[in-house]
Amino acid sequence: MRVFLTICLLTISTSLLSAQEDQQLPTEQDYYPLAPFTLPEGEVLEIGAIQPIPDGRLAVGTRRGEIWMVENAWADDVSQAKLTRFAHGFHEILGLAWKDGWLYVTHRPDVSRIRDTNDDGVADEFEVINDGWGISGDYHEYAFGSKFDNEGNIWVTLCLTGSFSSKVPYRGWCVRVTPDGKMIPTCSGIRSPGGMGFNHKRDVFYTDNQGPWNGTCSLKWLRPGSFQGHPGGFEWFKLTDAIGDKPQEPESGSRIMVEAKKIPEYEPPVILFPYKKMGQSASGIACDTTDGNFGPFKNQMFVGDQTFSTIMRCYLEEIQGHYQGACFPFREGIGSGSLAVEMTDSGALFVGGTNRGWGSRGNKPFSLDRITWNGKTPFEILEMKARPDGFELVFTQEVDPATVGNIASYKLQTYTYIFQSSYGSPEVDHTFPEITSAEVGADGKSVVLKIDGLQEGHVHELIAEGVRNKDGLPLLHQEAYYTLNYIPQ
Amino acid sequence: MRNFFSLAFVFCAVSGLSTAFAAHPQLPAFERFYDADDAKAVDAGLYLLGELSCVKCHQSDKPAAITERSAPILDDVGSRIDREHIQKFIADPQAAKPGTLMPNLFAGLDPAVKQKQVTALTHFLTSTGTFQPTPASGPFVNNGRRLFHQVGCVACHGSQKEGAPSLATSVPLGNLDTKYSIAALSDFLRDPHQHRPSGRMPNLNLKNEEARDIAHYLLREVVAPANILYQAFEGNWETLPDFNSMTPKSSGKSAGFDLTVAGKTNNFGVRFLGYLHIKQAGMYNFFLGSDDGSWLLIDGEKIVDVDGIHPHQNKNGSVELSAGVHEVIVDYFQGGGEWTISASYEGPGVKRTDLAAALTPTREKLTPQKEGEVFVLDPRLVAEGRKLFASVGCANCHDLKVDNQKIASTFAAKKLSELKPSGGCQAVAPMKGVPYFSLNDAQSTVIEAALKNLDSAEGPTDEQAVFRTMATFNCYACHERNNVGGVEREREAEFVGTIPEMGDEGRIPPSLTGVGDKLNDQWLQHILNNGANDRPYMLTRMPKFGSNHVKTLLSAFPDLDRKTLAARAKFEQPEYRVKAAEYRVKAEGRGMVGDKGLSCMKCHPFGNKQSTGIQALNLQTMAKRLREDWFYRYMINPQEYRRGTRMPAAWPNGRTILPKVLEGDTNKQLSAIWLYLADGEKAAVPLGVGGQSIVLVPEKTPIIYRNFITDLSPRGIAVGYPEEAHLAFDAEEMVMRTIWHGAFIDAAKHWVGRGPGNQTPLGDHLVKLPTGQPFAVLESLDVSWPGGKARDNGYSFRGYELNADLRPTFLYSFQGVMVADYPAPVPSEGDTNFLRTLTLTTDGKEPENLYLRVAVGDLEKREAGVYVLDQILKLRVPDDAITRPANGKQELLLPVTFTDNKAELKIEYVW
Repeated sequence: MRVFLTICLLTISTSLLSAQEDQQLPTEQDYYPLAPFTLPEGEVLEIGAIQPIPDGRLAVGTRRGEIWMVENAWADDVSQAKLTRFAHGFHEILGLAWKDGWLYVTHRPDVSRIRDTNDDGVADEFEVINDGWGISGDYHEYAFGSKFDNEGNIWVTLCLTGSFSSKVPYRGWCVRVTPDGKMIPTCSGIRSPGGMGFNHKRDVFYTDNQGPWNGTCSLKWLRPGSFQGHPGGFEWFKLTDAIGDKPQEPESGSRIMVEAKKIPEYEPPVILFPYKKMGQSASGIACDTTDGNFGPFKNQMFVGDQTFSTIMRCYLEEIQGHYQGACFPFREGIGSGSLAVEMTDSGALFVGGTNRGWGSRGNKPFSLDRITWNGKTPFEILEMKARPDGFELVFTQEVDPATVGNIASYKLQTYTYIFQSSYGSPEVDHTFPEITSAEVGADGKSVVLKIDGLQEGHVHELIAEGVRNKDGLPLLHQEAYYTLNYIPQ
Repeated sequence: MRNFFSLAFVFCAVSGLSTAFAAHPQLPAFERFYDADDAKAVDAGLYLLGELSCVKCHQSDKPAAITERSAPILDDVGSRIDREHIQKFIADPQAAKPGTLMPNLFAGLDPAVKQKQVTALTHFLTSTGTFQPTPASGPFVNNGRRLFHQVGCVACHGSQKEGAPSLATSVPLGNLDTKYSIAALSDFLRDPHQHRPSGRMPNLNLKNEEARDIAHYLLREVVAPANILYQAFEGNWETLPDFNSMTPKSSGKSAGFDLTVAGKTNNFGVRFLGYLHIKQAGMYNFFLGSDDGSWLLIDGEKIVDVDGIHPHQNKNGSVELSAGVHEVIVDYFQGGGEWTISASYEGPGVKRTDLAAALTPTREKLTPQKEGEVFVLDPRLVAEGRKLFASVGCANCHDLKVDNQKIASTFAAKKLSELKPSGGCQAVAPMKGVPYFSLNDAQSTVIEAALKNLDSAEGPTDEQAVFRTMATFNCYACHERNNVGGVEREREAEFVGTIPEMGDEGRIPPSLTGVGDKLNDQWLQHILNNGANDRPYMLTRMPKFGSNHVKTLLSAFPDLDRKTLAARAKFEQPEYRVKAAEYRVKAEGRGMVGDKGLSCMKCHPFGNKQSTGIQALNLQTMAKRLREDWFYRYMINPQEYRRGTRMPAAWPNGRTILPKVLEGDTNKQLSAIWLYLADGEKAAVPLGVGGQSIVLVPEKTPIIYRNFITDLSPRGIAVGYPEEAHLAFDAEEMVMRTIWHGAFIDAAKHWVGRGPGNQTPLGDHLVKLPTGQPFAVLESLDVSWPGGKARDNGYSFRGYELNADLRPTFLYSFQGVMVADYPAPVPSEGDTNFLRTLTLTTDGKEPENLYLRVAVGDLEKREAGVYVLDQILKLRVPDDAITRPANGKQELLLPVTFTDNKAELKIEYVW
C-alpha cells in the first residue's frame, strides 16, 4: 500500500515539476550570487585562511605561505579589488586572526604574529607565539587555527601523522594558544581537520574527514576535555594532565552512539555529512552572525566541501547537553575546492579554494569567491528540529498546505556508518521509518512530521520533493540530513 | 688471386644449394665467415672439430686452437621432451631437426638392429620423467610473438613472421611443437645454461612471464584435445557463488582450463569438471593459482581454496588418493582486470605436472592422446637403453644422471692425431658403429684440412681468439667489430627501438670496435656476466653469456684496443679559497651538464629523471661504464668513435664553446664533467632536469622558504639572497645548518601535489654546519658539548625580523639570553661569503663560561682566527677561538663575554 502511494505521488510531483520547468525554476544564483575575484596574474593564491582587517582590507593566507591584502574586497564589482603581497615565508597558512594591530598566523610549525612597523606595506616583524607541538616531516601534519575566543585564545587542531598514527606530540589533538603564548591541550581524538569556526554562542567547532574512525566527514564540537573519536594520538596523554586521563579506547566495528554511551569523554559528531551525497572533504566553517545581512539563516553555520566545491548549510540545536542537527545543500560552483570560508559582518561569505593534491569539482587550480545575499529569500527548509516522535520543519516562506501536509511529499530513510579503525565506511543499518502524519503549523510556515521508527544514532535523510510554497514552487534544495544522536524526551 | 675469388664464389653457391636441399649441421658462423681460403680452412676445421664435439670422443691431444662445446645435459629429459620426438630424433637427427649438430649414431646399422636400439634408448630416456603436452593460450601467444621478435631471438634464429626468409645463418629451432611442453620450454628460456651449458644459447634475462609467453608463442600450434567439461556463468561476485544452484549461460567441452569459453572478460564464472586417473595410491599435492577466485574439489572435497578478489595468487593442498578414477572440479570466477588460472599436481610417481592435461572428460579409462598404442615403459628396454647410452657414445657428449649418478661412457675412439683425414665419421656414406654427421662438402673439406694440419695449429692470437669467440657465440649476429659481422641485412628490420627518432643508434646494437678502449674492466665483466640494459630504448637485449664462456674477451678486448692518450687536468684553487675543494670543480661539471651549459640532460636522462628530448644513455651510468681516458677523447670527437652518432661535438676541434667556464680550458672542463659524473647516483641533479620546476630566484630582496629541507628538522627556514649565497636555518636547533652558492631552491616538490619529502637545495657548494644547541655553559673545557635537541634543552625559537633590505635576523632565547643571529651575504672575488653577527642580550644575569660552537669536524688552523673545516670551508673567527677534540673530531668554540648585558660575535664563512 505504501509503495502504491509513493508511486502515485511520484507521478504527481513529476508532472508538477515539468510544469515548473517550463517557467525555469530559480537557481542558487538567483538568491545568493557568487562573484569570482580575478587574482594577480602569474601568482598562485591557494587560499587557506581569510581575515578581515579593521582598516577595510581583507587578508588572505595561502598554502604557499604568502599573505596578500585585498583592497575593495566588498566592492559591488569584484574587479575593483586590488591585491598586494603583505608577507611570505610561511609554511601552509591555515588560520588568520587579527588583534591589536597584529595579524596572527597559524601555519604548520607554529602560531606567529606579524606586523608592518615601518608602514611600507610589508610585514617586518615575525614573532612566534607558540610552537609547542611536533612536526615529523609528514605532509599530513597540518595545523588549522581559529579566530580568538572570548579569552583571547587561538584554538589549533593538529592533523595526525597521516591517517592512523601520531608520531610527534599532540598530533591528533586540539590545543589552545593563550594570549601569553602558553599551549593548553584541549581535546584528543582528532584525525584530519579541514577547518575551524565558532557558532553564535562562541563554542568552537571543526570539521573532520572520512577515514579511520570517521565513516564520513562531519562537523564536530570541540568541547574542552572531549575525545573526538580517533585514538591515534592517545600517547600524548603522558605529556599532559590538562584534560585528565586517557579515555577508554573505542571498539572498532562498533557504532558511534554505542561507543558514546560507553565512553563519557567521546563527543559524537554534531552533523555527519553523508559521503558522496553532501560532499567528500569537509573544510572551512563560518557562522551567520550578521543579523540578517546574509538572509534568513540567522546563527546557522556554513561549511565548505573541498571535493564538491560547495558550501553546505547547518542547522544546530542542543539536545541533552549536546549539539546536533541537520545539514542542507546551500551553494555550489566554487571556482576551486572550497577550503577557507569566512563570513564578514556585512554579509559577505568569502571562500578560498584550492585543489592541489586533492581534486575538486571546481576546475580552477585556486580561487577566491564571494557569495552575497541579494535580498530575495529562497524557498528552503530553514530549520529541522528533532521531536520525541518526529521532526518539525520550519520553512523560509509560507507553504502550500496541500503538499506540505501530505505525507507522500516526503521520502525518509535512515542509516549510519561503521565506527572503525580502518578507512571510512559504507552507509549501514538502513531503515525506512514511516511518516504517519504531516501537520501544517498555524503560522503556515512549518510542518510537524510524526514518524514511526526514529533511529537513535542514525542520519535521517529526508527528501521533501513534493513540498511546494504558496506560489507552487518546489524547495530550492529538497534534501535534509539530520544526525539524530539523541532523541529529545 | 682471381682464381681464389671465383673459387670462393662457386664454393658459396654450392654451399647455399646444399643448405637448401640437404640437411647438414648448421652453424651461423661457419655459414657466414668461413670460406675456401686455405688459411681459413684450417681454422674453420678446428672450429668444427670443437662445435661438432669431435673432441668429446677423440679426446686426447686436443690442440689449444679447438674450443670444446658441451652438449645438452639430459637429466630428467623425459619430463622435458616428448617421447615421440626423442625417438624420431635419435633415429634420424637431421630428419627430425634439419641443421642439428647431433650425429646419427645408428646410420650404418641393419634397420632391425637400429630400431631395437633406438627403441631401447627411447625407453631409457623417457623413463627419466613424465611429459605432458600443454596447449598454447591466445593472449600469451600474442605477447610471446612480440617478445620473440623484439628481445633478440631473431638475431640468431630468424624471424617467424609470415614470408620471412629462412636464412642459412640462422640457428635452426626444429619443430618445437612436437618437442616441448610449455612449462619445459619456459623453464629453458628462463635459464638456458642449466641444460645447455655450452652457453651458445645465451640467457636473455627474461622475466617469468616473458619466458612463459615466448614458450606459448613457440608452441602455438600445439592443440590439445577438448578434455574437460565446463559450465560458464555470468554474474558479479566478490567470492565464489554456489554454481550448483545456478543455471549456466553455456556449457560444453574445453581444452584445458580455458577461460575464454565464457566469452567475457569481466564478471563471469566457470566450473570445470574432469576425471583424474591415479595409478598409484598415496598422498597427492595440488597447486592452484588464479585471478580472481577459484577452488579445487576432488570427489567433492575442497582441497585448495584461492577464493576472493585478488591478483594471481597460488596455494596448494594435499589429499590421500586411492588408485582409480577421481572427480576433479575447479570453480573459478572473474570480477574485473586480469584473469588467469593455472593448476598442477604431483604425487607418487608423478612429478609436478599440469593438471588440466591429465584430466579426461569421462570416467572411462584414459584414451590415447595420439594415434597408435598407449605407450608403456618396459623396464627391460629401459635397462638395455641405459647400457646403450654408455656404449654407443651418447655419454661422451651428454651428461645424464640417474639416481644422482652420472652415466659414464664405455665408448672409446681414436686420438685426434691418429685420425685419417677422410673416412670414419667423415665418410660420405654412413658406416656401422660410426656417427654420421651429414656434413656438407665444405664442412668435410675444412675438417680434412684441419686434421692434416693439427701439428701446425698453434694457440690463437688475441685477434684470432676474439674472432673465434665472437663467431662461436654469434656475437656477430648483433655486433660489428673491425668491419666484421654486425646485423645482417635480412634481419635488420627486426631490430627496433622505442624512440624512432634515435635512428639506427636507437635500435642496432653498438659496434664493438674499440670496445676494450671504451669500457672499463669491471663493466666489461659485468656485461658478459649479467647482460646489459644500459640502452633502455633498444628493445634487443644484451644477454648474459657467462664469463667462463667468453673470458677470452675480458683480456683480449683491452689488450687489443686500449689506448692511453688523455689525462685529467690539474685544478688549482685561488689562494683566498680552500685549495682542495673538489666540490667546486664538480659544481662546474654539473653546470656544464645542465641547461645553462651544454644541456647534456636534454638527451640523457639522469637517474630516474627523464630528459626532455630523446632518452639516451643515463648520465649516472657514464663513469661506471666508461674509461676516463676514452671519455676525454670521445667527447672531443664522437664521430671518430661512433660513426653516425647523434652525439654532438661540444668541443669542436678541441675548442670549448663555454669560454667563461674554468678559464675556457677544454681539458679542465672535460675533467670537471668526469669528476661530477663519477659521483654516479650521488651526483647532484643537473639544473634543468626533471618535470615541473618552480625555481625560486631572489632577484632584489631575499626569499624566505619554510618547508621540509634536506638535513634540517621539519622546521626549516631557507633564505635565498640576491647575492647567490643562501642558507637554511633550523628553527628547532637554532643553527644555520647549511649554506650554498648559486641557484636557491626548487619549490616544485612542495608546491606541486601534496608536497611530501625533503627538498635539497638547488645550487652548488653545499656545506653542512653542526646541528645541536648553538650555545652551552661549560664549567671546564673537559666537559663535552650537551647532546639532545636544542628545543628540548630549553631553547625557544622567537621568530625573525626583517631589516630595511628585508634580510632576516633570527631570534631565539635560552636561559634568559636573547640571541639575534644576523647572517649577511658579503660579495667577494668569485663567490659570496657570509658574515654572521650574533648579538646576545640578557635581562640581568650574565652567564659565565658560555661558548658558541662554530664547527665540528676536521679543523686546520691556518693562522690566528682562521680555520679550515673539512678542507672545504674557511672560517674567520675572533682570535680567542678554541679548538678541542670531540669524538674523534674537533670542535671550534668561541668564548662569549658579556659587557653591560650584551655580547657580540662575528664569524665569516668563506667557501
